[in-house]
Amino acid sequence: MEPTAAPIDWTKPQRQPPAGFVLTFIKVIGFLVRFIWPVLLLRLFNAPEKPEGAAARGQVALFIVLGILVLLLVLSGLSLWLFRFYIANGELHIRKGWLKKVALSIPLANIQAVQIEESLLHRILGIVKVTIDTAGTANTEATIDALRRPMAEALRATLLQDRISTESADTDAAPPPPPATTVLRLSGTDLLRLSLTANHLEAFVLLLTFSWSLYDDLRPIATRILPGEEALVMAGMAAMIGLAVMVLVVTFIVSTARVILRFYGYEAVQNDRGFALRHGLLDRRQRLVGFEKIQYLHWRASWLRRLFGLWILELGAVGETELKQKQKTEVPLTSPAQVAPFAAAYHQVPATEAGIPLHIHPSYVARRLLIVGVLPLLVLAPLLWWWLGANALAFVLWPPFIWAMATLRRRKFRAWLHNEALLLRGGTLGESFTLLKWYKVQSVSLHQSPYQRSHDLASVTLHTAAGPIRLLWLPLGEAQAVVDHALYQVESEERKWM
Amino acid sequence: MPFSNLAIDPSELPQTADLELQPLAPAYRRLLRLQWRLTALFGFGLAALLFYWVPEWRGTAAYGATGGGLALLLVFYYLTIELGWPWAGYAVREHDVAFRAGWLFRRLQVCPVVRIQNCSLSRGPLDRQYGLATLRLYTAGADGADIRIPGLPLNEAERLQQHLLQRIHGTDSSAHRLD
Repeated sequence: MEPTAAPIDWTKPQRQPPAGFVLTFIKVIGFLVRFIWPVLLLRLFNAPEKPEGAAARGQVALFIVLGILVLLLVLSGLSLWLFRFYIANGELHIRKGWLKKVALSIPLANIQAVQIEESLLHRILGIVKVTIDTAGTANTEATIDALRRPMAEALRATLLQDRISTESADTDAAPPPPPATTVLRLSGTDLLRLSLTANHLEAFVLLLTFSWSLYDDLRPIATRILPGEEALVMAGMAAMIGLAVMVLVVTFIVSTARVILRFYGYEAVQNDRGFALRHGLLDRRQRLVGFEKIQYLHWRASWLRRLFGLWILELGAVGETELKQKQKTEVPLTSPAQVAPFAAAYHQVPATEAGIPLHIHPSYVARRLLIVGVLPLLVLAPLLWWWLGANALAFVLWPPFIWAMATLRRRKFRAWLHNEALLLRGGTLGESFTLLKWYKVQSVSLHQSPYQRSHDLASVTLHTAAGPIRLLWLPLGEAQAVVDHALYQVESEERKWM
Repeated sequence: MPFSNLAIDPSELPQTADLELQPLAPAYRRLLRLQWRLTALFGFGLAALLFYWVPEWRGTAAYGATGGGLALLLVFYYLTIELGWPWAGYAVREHDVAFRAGWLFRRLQVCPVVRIQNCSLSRGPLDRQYGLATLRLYTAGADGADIRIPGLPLNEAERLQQHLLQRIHGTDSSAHRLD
């Protein structure tokens, strides 16, 4: 950590540096451009054939846009100026807002972690973003968008120092914390293997969605730029989108690049409080996940990655359900054995040989085939035939596909109930494991459809602060036993869930 | 304290299957029926307006399709109220609160008291008319982890809330009383 030149008096209100204004300025410009780029493109190419009064209307529109831009910039500058933070009476106070004033006070004892992140823009401006995680929900968490790194690190040290000293005051003669150890470091070869086995299908769908939205945006513009040549323009565009081979190649490159950008330089360090994770090429992320914040562990591998022994471990931390997939705390592993050091801090992975696991009931496959495979096809068949003609026959493959997926899922699913933890195995083509300590459960629910009731079956959902964990289609007695055991463990446990 | 790790006999654990659920207030059933009548009135009123404003949407087929569809939805809604009623209920045990509801798809939710972050009472205009309240139990869990118990008599809901607040915060809830 870089030492600061002079100690900062945190009891006095602090503001974000002027670079924060530049950050806001660029964000506002980016936001506006994203919304009005089709209009700008239209103005650029659409010079001739203006009806009378169009120029005047165009000028008015331009002035409106400029007016909005200026207004947004003034408001951004104002909000940056009004944003202040300070530490007093054991609390971090944040004051912000102009029309809607916000006063946020976070007790330092509630602060679980302080994350320092920097995007490419942050790096260019020489600033970082600080996120303060608390024991509450997302509404009680705070973000400081722009701070100089030394100041951010000094703030983090101050915020967490108070917590450490509070904890050490609580426990007399506590042993000294163990030294930080690196539990994982991703090499260049590992990164390449991970990126080559990425989910190319997901990237393909993303790219296709993007292409379609682009096509949709450009269609009205193209008709204005080249009047009378719409058919030609559209045929060209359709041909461009239809170049499947090219899309597949681009897809492969994109998905490979996404993994490299995200997991570049991955390093996981374990200290006495949790796991410090650093990764990213352009957006360099640094995150500390406290041990107590981890609600469950989930590690998974697609069929391709499993062949190479590559897994992704998700540290199911509090509030993860509100995050997008790419913001979740995921750790790339290059061997299943690498789960062990992470699990050791949570709960040892129980042996799967001991005990009799729970299974999904065999009737699950037939019901899934009927409800998801056959019935929708019967309902939609006339419509599909009318729309696609003989091509609709391809949809007869839908029920066998559903049957195959349901069969694989049923065969793979296992639930091992241990005294302190639950271990689930799932997946269809790939494989996944979930390890949950019972006392991390927040509430439990048991569901029954009419068919399940008539056959004494039920599904169970274990709700945690990081998301739900589901056990589907168990015999009713087993489902009730899971619910009873979970409740017993939560209600008889004295440890805090976080 | 000596470490112990005794084996647990699952059959000796308290069973959710043996839960004795308290029925919701009979006034809540009357309220649900009133809501059904109001929905039917609103639905048919909307359909009449549609026939009036859109001349193309007239004729036997249009009347049949609209009326039939609406009637089907209302019958399903009515069955959900009437056939779901015997299954709806709640239970407050020493260490948890349970709520069961649903007709076709039934759901039993159980929330340990130690996981309740907060609980609140709410009353809409119709609830006030029938002397009812809805009790909400908030947990830190996501995706349907919270429990909402509607159709409680007001005084019972307030007693329950007071009991739960005392358990979770150790505070008196007189400040939370609803008029």
